[in-house]
Amino acid sequence: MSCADMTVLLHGMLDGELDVVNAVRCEEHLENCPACAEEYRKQKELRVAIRRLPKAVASEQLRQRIQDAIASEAPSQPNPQVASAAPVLALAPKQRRWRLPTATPWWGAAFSMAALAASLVVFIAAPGDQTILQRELIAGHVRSLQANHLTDVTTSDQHTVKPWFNTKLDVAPPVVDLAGQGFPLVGGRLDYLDNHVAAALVYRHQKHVINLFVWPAADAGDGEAEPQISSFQGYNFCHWRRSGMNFWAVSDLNAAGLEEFERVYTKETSS
Amino acid sequence: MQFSDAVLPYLDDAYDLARWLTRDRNDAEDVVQEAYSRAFKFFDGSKSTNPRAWILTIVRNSFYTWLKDKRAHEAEPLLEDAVGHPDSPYEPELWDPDQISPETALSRKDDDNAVRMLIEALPVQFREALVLREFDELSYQEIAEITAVPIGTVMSRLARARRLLQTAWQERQKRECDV
Repeated sequence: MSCADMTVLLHGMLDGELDVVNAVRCEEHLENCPACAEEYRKQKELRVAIRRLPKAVASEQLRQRIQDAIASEAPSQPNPQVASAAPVLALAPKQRRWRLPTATPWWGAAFSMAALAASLVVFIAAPGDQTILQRELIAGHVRSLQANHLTDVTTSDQHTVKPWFNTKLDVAPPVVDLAGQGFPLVGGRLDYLDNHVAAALVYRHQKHVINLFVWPAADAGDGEAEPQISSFQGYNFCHWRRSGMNFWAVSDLNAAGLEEFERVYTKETSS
Repeated sequence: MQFSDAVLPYLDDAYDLARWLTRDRNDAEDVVQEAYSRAFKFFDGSKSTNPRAWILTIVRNSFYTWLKDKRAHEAEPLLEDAVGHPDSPYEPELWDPDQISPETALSRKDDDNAVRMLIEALPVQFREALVLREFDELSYQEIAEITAVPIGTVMSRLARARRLLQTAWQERQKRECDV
């Protein structure tokens, strides 16, 4: 090992990040090279001087501002108007502002803009709960297509996915792999929809991704609902209710494909 | 896991990192607020494996967005230039008011402030690697993930950062002997 190698490796040594082979070689070099040994000693001294510095601590005001902002965004928001607006805000992550009010005019301006935006959203969302939900479903679906967020548990093995949900949710959705029918199971994750934590099962069909969102029906007396196909903003939906659970399948797959998916999923999970 | 349980405990870590990166108290608060806003937006409970590294990553990314907004890239001073040529111009607006240039740092009487100012004078890539290692005590692997570079780059950046500091530190000690 040369002194040139040591200029970098010495720091790996100092940080305890070298593998055994390189650590031994470094130690041998340090024993035989006074110049590098001196540099090593000085670097250790420097580290002591660096680590002696006090840590900067967040001010109480900053902590309070962040806590307040979190509290005002919590899903258990009691104000009904805000509660109905929240899901819609959630659907457009890029436009959503989560500004923290502070004493400065700039923040104040941003905050009133946010209030204005929120009121517009309430207005736009007027078409009804169904539309709001569909927007949420699309948002959940689109988010899942962004890199590395498709699944929290990635496996085609239904016996892994189902227990994973069991640990996260009160009610576990029926999980079945439909690879034999052309809809392989990719995995599952948790999402938040319609003011519920929902299970999202992810299936593939050829190049299309299908997100199947499942959550308990608000009222067990809601009964069963036959599959119903709809479309919104270029996505197709298939909704049904069974065994006290709401099912929403979302995909860019065509309506016929989605109906087929519902048919085989229901068949396989009923038996 | 709740958002506040997951990442609020690391607020001081987040602020300390932002403070080192921005070198200014108010800017650091802005960066941390923006980071927590982003974190809130993307939090889905699955970050519970390493929430500290996760929030530090977001702080670091928010810092770069902030820096870009300031269009301050060209104003990043190079410590070795500044130390090697005491008269070399560096952009004053990036420095703290009370003041951190390597020159000032070298003339400081108390060691702690001198070290702090020298670290603040490091080019940002070296500074972030050093801060994540020395103050947050993260592994090379974690630093590599946060700063989106290979592990080898982390090690060479740390080596470079420490050599710059070492050189400046020796300069300071030499001057004290001369006085």
